Amino acid sequence: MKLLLIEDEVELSKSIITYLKAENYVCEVAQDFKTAINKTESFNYDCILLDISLPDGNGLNVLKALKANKKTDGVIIISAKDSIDDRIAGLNLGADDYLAKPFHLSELSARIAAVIRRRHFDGNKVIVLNEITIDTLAKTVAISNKKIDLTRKEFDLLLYLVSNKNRVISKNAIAEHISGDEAEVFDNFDIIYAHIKNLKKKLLLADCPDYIKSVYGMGYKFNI
Amino acid sequence: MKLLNKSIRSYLVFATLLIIIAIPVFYFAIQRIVKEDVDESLIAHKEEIISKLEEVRHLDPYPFLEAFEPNLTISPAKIIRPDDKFYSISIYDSISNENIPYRVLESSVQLKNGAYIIKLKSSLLDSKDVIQSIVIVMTILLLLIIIGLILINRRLSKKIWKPFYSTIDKLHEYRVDNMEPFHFEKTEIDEFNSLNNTIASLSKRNQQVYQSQKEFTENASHEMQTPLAIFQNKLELLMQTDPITAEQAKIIEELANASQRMNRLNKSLLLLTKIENNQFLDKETVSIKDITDKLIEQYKFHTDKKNITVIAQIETDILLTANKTLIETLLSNLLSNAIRHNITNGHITIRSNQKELVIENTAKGDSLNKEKLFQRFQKQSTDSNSIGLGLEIVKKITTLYGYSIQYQFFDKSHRFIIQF
Repeated sequence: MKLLLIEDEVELSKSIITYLKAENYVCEVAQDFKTAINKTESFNYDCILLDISLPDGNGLNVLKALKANKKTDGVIIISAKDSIDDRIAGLNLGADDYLAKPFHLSELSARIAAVIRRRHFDGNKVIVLNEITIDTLAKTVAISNKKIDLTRKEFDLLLYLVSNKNRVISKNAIAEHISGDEAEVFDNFDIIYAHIKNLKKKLLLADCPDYIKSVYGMGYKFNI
Repeated sequence: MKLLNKSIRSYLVFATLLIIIAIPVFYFAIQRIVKEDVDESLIAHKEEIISKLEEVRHLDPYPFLEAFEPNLTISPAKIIRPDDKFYSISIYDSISNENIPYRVLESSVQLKNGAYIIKLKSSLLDSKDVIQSIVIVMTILLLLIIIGLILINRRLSKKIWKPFYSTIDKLHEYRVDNMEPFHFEKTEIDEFNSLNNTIASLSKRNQQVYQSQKEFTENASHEMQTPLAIFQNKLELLMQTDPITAEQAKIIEELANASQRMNRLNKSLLLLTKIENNQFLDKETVSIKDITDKLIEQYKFHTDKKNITVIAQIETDILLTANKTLIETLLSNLLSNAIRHNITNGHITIRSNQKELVIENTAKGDSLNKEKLFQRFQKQSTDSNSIGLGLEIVKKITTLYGYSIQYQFFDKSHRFIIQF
């Protein structure tokens, strides 16, 4: 999988690349508008991570150029401007997703995985990990071909953990992922503990090994 | 007291005093002049009569003379008084049925055939009328002059002070967050021009300071996002390092929580600036009932955990034309506060009628400080999760849409009332 990161902030792109490389993505970086245009014109990427505010141009124009050239690269906008207008403008121009800075790397990784799944029409919508089969379209989970009944939040949680398998995901990232704005209002992690507990119980009941590990209370890891 | 009335009042007091003093003085002065005049004419008349009497040698022609001169009385005198005597009397007149004032001259004369007293009288009735007429005319004239002066002065003052009043009106409408500069009309009066110029430059300075302060918050929050993102992402990378000890993990977790809090603080500040800059423009019809129901459902986990009973009594829905995100923020801030600052097994009551929404919850502590409640960073709880911006955001949203919000502490419950 080939990714292009268009981001002028060096430290930020370094972190993103370090995290994504471990997912076996091939990552290229464009630090300015010109390089971005050159690269997107010459190559195809599975997913482009696009910062809107670049020193020499508006990132949205990269998006416009892509559409003008009828390119089908997936695009996730990563922007410091979290306004509904920007979000709508970006999505209307054909971006697949919008992520406001600061974001969690685990969240970014999950979103990239989702965009790539959606972009590939050849049946990549099912994730198989040993005995676990996750159908991302039908939103169902089966253990050894036996369907288990998960709530919407439990399904999201499992998919999130799996998208970042063998990585520690911080509790804050999980809280934000499964409860959105609510996480900003209530700081306690009880809701995560509750969901993790239920998910683990359901997986164990279906004779699935206990892949979900707590890492010293700082986060969780799907160890496979 | 208004400026105009103040100056006119002084005029009025002076004019009233002037009339009260001037009219009697005037009256008596004229009366005196008339009297002197009558006296002089009586003396002249007397001299004439005496000289006529000298010519008449008969002893008793006087009744005859009296018959021709109705105002003359001649009677013999015992002693001669050297000087004339004047006095005023009233004589009843049966024809006009009134007392008529007379001026009388009494004089003794030595004629060849003896001493006589001559009494000459002159009616003052005509002169009384004249005096009255003059005084009335003068009074009317005086009043007219004073009224005229006051009116002219009033009009003139109004005209002169008009720019001043228009300046005051403009100052009433002045808001520091309104970027429109003041436009004063040029006046003929230097002092007002100078006042207007001073106000204009003062307000401009205020607006600039306000603007730069606002921009600072906005820019600072924006600029903060990149380092915050770097910090947060590096922490996530640090979490992935292996091996990691429990001790390190604890520190990383605490750092992550701190960065989360900074993040949230920053987001809230940005939200505040956005509300202040009126950047939530799109409006739609928003149903209070729908949002409340959604939030109650969303917060069910947290209310259940504290075993809080939520009673929603929204009989008639309130429909607002507003930005949905803002109204959701408004209600979620109030509702989440009601959950966070509640007691275990407590209550939350949400009531509404057509114009009013009341959110009430059993309180953990005492009444909150009403004055500081809606101010920035005025935390009144020791809850480290609260960043102290929630109620300010609430206040800003209500202000933006012209709603009012009140806080009451009643029966060990916090109560927030929003009037739409």
